[in-house]
Amino acid sequence: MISVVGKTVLWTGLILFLISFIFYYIQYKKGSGRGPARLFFLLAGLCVAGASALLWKAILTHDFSIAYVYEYSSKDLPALYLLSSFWAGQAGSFLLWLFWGVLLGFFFIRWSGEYESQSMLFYIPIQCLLTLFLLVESPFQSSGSCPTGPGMGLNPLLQDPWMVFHPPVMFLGYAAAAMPFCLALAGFWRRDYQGWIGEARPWALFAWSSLGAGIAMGGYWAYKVLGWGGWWGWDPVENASLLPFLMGTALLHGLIIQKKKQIFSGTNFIYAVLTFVLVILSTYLTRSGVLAESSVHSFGKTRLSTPLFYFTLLALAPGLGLLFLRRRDIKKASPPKEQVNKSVVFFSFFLVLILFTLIVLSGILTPVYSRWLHFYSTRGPEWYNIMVRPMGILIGVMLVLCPLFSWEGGTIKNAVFNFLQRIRKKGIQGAGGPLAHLGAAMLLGAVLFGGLSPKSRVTLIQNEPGRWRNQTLVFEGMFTPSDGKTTARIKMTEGNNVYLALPKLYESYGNGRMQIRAEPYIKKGIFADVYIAPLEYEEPQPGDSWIFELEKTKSVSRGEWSFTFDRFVMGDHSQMTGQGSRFGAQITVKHGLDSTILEPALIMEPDTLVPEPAPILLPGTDTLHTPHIVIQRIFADRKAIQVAVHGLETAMDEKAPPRASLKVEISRKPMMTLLWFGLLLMVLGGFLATYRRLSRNLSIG
Amino acid sequence: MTAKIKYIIAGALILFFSILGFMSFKKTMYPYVSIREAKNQSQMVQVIGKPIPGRNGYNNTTMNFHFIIQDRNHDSMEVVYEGVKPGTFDEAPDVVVIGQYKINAFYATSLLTKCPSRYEKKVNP
Repeated sequence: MISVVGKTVLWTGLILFLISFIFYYIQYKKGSGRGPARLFFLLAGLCVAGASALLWKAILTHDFSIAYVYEYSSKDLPALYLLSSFWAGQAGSFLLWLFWGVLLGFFFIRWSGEYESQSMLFYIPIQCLLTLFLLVESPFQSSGSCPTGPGMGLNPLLQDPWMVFHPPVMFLGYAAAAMPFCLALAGFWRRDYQGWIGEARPWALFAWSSLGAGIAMGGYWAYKVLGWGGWWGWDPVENASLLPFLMGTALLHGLIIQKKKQIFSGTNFIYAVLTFVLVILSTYLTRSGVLAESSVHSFGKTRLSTPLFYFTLLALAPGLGLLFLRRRDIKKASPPKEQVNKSVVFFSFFLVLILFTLIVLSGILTPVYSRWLHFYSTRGPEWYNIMVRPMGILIGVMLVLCPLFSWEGGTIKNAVFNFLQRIRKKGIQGAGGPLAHLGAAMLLGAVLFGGLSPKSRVTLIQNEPGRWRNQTLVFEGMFTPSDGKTTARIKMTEGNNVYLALPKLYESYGNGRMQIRAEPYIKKGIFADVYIAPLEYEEPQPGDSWIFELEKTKSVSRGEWSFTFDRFVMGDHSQMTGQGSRFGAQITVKHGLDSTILEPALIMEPDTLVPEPAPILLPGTDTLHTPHIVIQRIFADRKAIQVAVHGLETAMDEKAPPRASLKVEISRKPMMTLLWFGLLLMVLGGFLATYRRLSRNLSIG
Repeated sequence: MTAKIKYIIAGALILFFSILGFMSFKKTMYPYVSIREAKNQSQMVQVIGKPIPGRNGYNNTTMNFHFIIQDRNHDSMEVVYEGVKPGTFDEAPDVVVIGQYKINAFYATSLLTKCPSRYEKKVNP
């Protein structure tokens, strides 16, 4: 039922979008029709909201008649993760994207002024395509026969608070990237090369900040929770999300300069188009299966793979078309002689960003083009590290130098003074830009000067101190707190500093099965983090067993121990319990200078032989963990017996009864705090600048 | 004047990164090969294989993670990975390893586990 309703709602939305599009076209051609256009867009938006609400309802009520709900959630999933299962799968994530698209679209309509109708003529088709995707790969697909069981559950790796924030913020950025795109296309279409940037600036800033926040969250999530010790792996899918961010950086800087000096109008158009096209391209690369073999992030091939490829081309088409059609205008529009120190710095900056984008793109596409050229290969992370490091340095240099340059030239002292003046004038809102740049500088500093992170993998025996660099570690044991995540207690001592490290190693249900999950413990420090990842926990071993044969009157030795089989001792067990016969063996056990005589036996019960072990008690053996000797078999014809000795090794080691052990990887991660703080400042600065730009725009216009 | 500066800067940057790129291009590219091919060469390659269940663990001395993979041709080889066993390892239908074959085992610098039909987040560079 819900399945049918959901699909119908989406179909209705699609049709309403198309009607809105028609009215906007009429508005563009004839100057009227905006009212109905807005109305139908609003109605379409309500359909999308309705579809989202339906999916929420299905998830929260565990309606397994919907396949998506069954595949991505389970009855026992905590509420927080239940919420996030909405976007855990492909179809749901597209619905989230569409939802943001219409929500932002409402604001876009209200704030776009004269650009509204033409921009919407580009914006609505984007929403239509997303809706189409949702009809092909529907979140409302029914499950066929109603599945029993608790549901497949959310993949345990995704059962983390970050799953609630990271994807929505990421998709917010994706949705917002469409706005500068549409405005740029509308502007060029109208032959208005300067006007569109005023509207575009807050959206560009917003998209950049959201993308940045999404990427930063992804990195932090990986670092804090996933346990492989890093925050950025140059994984093709991570790289794909970096591409629109890089072009977005170029765009927002370019727009500022164009506002001031009216230059870069052509390149800003290109950046605006590319930022969005790269969003679609990155979606395609992630979800098409093209990179499935070289990235653990990506989906395999789905029904949307080919449509997404065409979507990318489709997004690129109007940009290329307009660029070609307006090429002469662009040449005329850029004042040729605008030439001052600062523009050169920006020129270099944009060039570096473009090179950065190309290098990352070429790395991502290696599996794709190499397959065509018959030497199917992948690109290792070393490529990015080698190529990007000099870029980071260059950007760092520019970051420092640029505020010192001015548009006109002049002394450095002048420049610094002017810079400080500007900050004072603009107040807290104006702090957005400087804050973001400070954050960028911190990020670059952390990455470039962080250096290597030394690491070791060690086995920690319970209660036995281990050492790593200047740290002492004592694994005290495992315990299970109320949330079920079994945790290890490790006492860490670093000089005078003592603290408890609590990495987690537990079983979790998800994806239809139990999986083992590990969470690292991170001790944050100003200059470096200490990172402890649990690898494996071993319960105390019951003790070693040594099995061997003893022939009568012969001895067998091991280390300081020797065992001699003296003779058989037959007896009547009925003395003890009134039961059957007793087959015993007298064995002399020697350890060094000590010796003792034992008589392990096999008791004949009605239908079985029950072994009666004999404890090996010698001076110095730990009575709590005494070794035992047991007769396993008797070879009467050969006059031999097969015995097993349990716990001999541990008895030989006077210190240690069998103890649990925990294997961990411990490493030192330099500059992490600086890095996260820098990312935070960048994102905060971006949002602050967005707010400032928006309020300026709204108060003026 | 400044137009020339722009050309100089652009030229220098493009030249620098092109040279760097050419120098690094080959050595950061890892061809996909089968296990049989991997055993026959000593350069860095990438191999996909299915880990054999139960045959994996940490070497108590070196603390490296050892496991055995088998590819489509039913060849198998031991892999030694100086790193952490990924959480999704046991359930992974396939893993991808990047590294080189030495003497009798494949020493991997990179280990990726895959769960192709889901939107995952798990990377082990």
